Amino acid sequence: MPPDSGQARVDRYRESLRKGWRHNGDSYVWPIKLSAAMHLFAKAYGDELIEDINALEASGKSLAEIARPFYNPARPYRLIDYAIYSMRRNRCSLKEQRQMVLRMLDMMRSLKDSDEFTEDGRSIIYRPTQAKGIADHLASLPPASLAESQVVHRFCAAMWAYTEAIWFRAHDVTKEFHGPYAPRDDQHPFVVKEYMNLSPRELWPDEPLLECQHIVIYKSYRPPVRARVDCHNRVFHEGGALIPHLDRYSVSVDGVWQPCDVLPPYVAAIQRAIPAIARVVEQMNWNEVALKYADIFWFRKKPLTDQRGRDWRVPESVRDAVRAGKELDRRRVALSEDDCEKLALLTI
Amino acid sequence: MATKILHGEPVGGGVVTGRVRVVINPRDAVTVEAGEIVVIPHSSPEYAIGVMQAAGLICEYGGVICHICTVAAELGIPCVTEVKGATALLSTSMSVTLDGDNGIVYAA
Repeated sequence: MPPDSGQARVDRYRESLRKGWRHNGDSYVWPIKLSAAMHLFAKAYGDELIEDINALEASGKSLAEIARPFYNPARPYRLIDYAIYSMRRNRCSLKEQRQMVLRMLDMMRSLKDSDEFTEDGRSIIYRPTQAKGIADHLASLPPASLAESQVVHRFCAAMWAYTEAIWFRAHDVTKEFHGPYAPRDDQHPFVVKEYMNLSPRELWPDEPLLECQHIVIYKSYRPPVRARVDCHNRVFHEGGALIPHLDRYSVSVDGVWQPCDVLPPYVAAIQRAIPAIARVVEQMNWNEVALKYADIFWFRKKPLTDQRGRDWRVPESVRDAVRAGKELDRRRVALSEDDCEKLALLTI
Repeated sequence: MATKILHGEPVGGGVVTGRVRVVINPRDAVTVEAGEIVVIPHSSPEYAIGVMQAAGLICEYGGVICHICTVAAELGIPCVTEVKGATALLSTSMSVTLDGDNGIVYAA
């Protein structure tokens, strides 16, 4: 079977889910177990998602043009599952479901310049000139000191925790990790940790959020540390301890390069923001948290509704259903690694 | 030879010896002191406040890519997860050696 045939791509998509989901069976997930709330809004969400894509295509846009405002490939990739969820419940044929998967994979593929399922451990988004520019910038910087390395790694950890606090498990809307890029022979490859939508006032109007929207962290490590990225946007560092092997790093905030000494104040701001959001979530009942999840879901596809000139927010009928709905007990149970893998293989 | 007292799934990060701090209520994460090995029941973003001070992390429930383990990996500190009984068997102030690469907790 040609590797780029439709069937091969669907098979590889299914395999990518299997790899990604196998560690996903936790019994406790903050703030709530999404799988036990999905039945309240996922079908309506998937229906709208498909309608948005169909309408935009019907207006003459290509799938690449439709995908472009997403910017990061993880977003269309992680939405595929909800399109299938909707189509299965609408009793669409398997052939139709697979065609939809392929269209959304085309959207994802148009946003990257490497294997669409990142099977070689590389997720390449930057054009060669852009990667070279970053590499030149990193090469102009002195190697990181041990103290700086500790600050940078602490900042990375804080960013991860902060984005979980404000976006729950919707990683795609707030993170894109990509690379490794190796445009210069005289330099170690670098990875990019890009954090977006960092101040979503639409969701958290009164909480102490960061005041910026976009933070990018560039890091290169000396051997034996090496990095690989998977299609679920996770970076795996292997070979040795990270802190002593950080070679060079740089951080930009809303497009402006930042010195190391601005990072601790960001960490401090995050240390104030996380408990504040945790307290707000604590005050919510289960339905209110599920509704917040629905808000997050609809925000995830906002680039599509924006292109259609429509309101991105959750329809009132869905809000009513979520407010009145109940947690699905059987979807609260922890799945074994095997169960997660089987579920992924059954998806399409 | 060090006595192995618990084991779980290795997340990585090497080996560290330090004093244990068991944190059950996420609000108490702010009490973690630099260099302590934090023991938590499961993942939650508020625990990250404490983990960012810590020298190591032991998590009782949660897969190797659960969020708090990812925070530990971002920090580059030793971390072991799925350590059944950790919050009951370990107590604040005891000393342990945490091997994040092999998923083992030793009495220090």
